[in-house]
Amino acid sequence: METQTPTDETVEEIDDASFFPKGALAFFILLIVFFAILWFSMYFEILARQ
Amino acid sequence: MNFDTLELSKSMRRLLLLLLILPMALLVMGVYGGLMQALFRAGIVTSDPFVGGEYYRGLTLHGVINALVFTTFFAVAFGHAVITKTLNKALNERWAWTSGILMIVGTVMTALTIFAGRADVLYTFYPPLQADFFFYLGLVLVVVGSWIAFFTWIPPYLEWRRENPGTKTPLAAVGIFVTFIVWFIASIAVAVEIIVLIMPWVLGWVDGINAMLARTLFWMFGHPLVYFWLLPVYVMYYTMLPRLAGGKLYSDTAGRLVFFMFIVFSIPVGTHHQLMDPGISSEWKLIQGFFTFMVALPSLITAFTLAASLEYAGRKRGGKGLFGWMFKLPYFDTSRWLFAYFITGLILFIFGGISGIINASYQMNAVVHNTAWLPGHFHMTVAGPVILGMLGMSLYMVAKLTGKKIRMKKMVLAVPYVYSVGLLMMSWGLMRGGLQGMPRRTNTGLTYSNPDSALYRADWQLFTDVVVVGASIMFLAMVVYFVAFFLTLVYRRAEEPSMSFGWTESVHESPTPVRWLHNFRPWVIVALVLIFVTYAPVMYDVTTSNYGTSPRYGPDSPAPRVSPSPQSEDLPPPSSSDAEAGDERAERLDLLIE
Ligand code: HEM
Ligand SMILES: [Cu+2]
Repeated sequence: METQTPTDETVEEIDDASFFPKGALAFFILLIVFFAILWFSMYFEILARQ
Repeated sequence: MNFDTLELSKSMRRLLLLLLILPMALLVMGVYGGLMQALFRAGIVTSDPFVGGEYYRGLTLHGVINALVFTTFFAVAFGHAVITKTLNKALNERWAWTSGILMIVGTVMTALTIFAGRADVLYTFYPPLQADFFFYLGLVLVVVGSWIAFFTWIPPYLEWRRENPGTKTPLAAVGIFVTFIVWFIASIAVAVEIIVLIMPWVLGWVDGINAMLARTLFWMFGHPLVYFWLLPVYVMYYTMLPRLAGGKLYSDTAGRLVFFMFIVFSIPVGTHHQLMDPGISSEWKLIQGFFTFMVALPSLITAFTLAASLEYAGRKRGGKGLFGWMFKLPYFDTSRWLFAYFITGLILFIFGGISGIINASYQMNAVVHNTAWLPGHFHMTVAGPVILGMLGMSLYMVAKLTGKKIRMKKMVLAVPYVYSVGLLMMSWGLMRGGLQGMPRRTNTGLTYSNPDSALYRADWQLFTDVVVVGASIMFLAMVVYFVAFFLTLVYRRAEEPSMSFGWTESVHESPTPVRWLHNFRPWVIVALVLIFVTYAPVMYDVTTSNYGTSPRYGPDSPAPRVSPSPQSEDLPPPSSSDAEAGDERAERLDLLIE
């Protein structure tokens, strides 16, 4: 059923050896930046509250 | 990687169905309890007849059923299936059934004590709050049952290793073994807490309990517990999600590394739940706080590896540019409805993860500790990726194990999205309120959200209201899920039952085992050493501090209980007109104050 029958229409063949996840890398960097923003906003919240 | 040719026997299929369906029926009550919590807190309901009108009884039921029972049953059922299928080996059925029966008996026992009002102690059962003896015994049976399940997987695995020298253990099996290694080590701590400290005290054999030692043992178990919840879902993310998305896992080696890192770092971090507790010196809290940041690493690696796997799938489906792949994933494909349960969990985990890192930051913890921020945070982990993965997989497995067609597929597909919207609202309300000081584990409906009360906090009202709306949306989504789940079960079977998972291939995979990622033993040894180094001083602190021991308390009175029985009869309610008992109570309070 479901996961057993991949019904993908492959639009683009990907060469595994040369595949580089540049989007995932960009996503990851954004994720870390987002984490840092939230973390520091909490940090400054504590400072503000003394 | 299609090695799963062995079918589950009929008796194993029955066992698995029992382990999946029974806790699902309980979860109906658990989720109802969640909605009630939100309504209580807002003052919309003041008494829930279903749990004897008690806010704390409802909260205990909610925590125990959702977080302890449902998750453990699922992990065992999923583990049985994954181990059988990946190793192509039958398990010892007698022991598997023994394990299942122990877990069921234990669950019934614990649930009955809660319903009977003899265990209003919340799922953390911190002494000196005392519950009925059978509440604890039930929990012990559930844990021991899950250990036995784990033990049934070891002999077939050793046999598999002998038969397949130089072959990598299938990644899903690695994940399941790691899950249960972490669980086994951690639950020894809670077993000691219950059997050595709590039970003799509950039975009245000893009068006092070292509450701090008990809490420390609990959290030595309680933090790894969250990985016990999460790791089965990581198994799904690594070994099924990429294929569901139409691609491959980016790196099999990264998956192995991640699982092994969890063995090492899951446990020496428990005191991050006790950052505000007295009796433990701050150096050791800080060190365990540091290891908490270490245990975030495998999850960050996972974030990247899964993003890369999804990018692979999205590009294959024609996604262009840096982020085009994100828009090509099968979010709304009913034939891949399971994908929706995984991707929503991953998105929620972004918020669950960062709020967890904030909790673990020693100074910041002081801002959020014991506020509503906490349930706001952990619903985005345990009630997010964990429960969504488990709900999705339960339905998938039940359909496979019975050979039935999933009903209401479109609704089933919509559930995780609707639920996630509700969850984000509820968590936002709880977290924002928490930052203003709104407490957790408090029936705020009586005070802070009650305009007639002197304690009323008008500035929290918005947050409480958003929580109600969010919780109602989550509840509705869950109702739809339950209807689809049980409807699927009552229809006639459509095909021969056959359990199979759609295992993923990998982009990068070394054909032979990477040596340091081949054996569990070195990782377990490092873990044990680290646990010893980080916990020995903490244990020293809590056993040598001179705060003494505590007598037994019930939630019904600020005075300790005289008899070890947890029933409230030995102390009349405060409103009682019985003057004598009132005197006795006052006397005991005096004693306490002295
Ligand atoms: C419809 C879904 C749910 C709703 C509306 C809901 C709502 C709530 C609320 C409002 C609280 C806070 C109570 C308080 O601190 O005063 C709470 C606590 C909690 N919830 Fe949920 N929840 C839901 C699902 C879940 C699920 C699926 C899990 C776990 C798998 C879970 C685990 C917990 C735990 C462990 C607590 C803490 C209990 C305690 O403090 O002792 N919840 N829930
Ligand atoms: Cu923790």
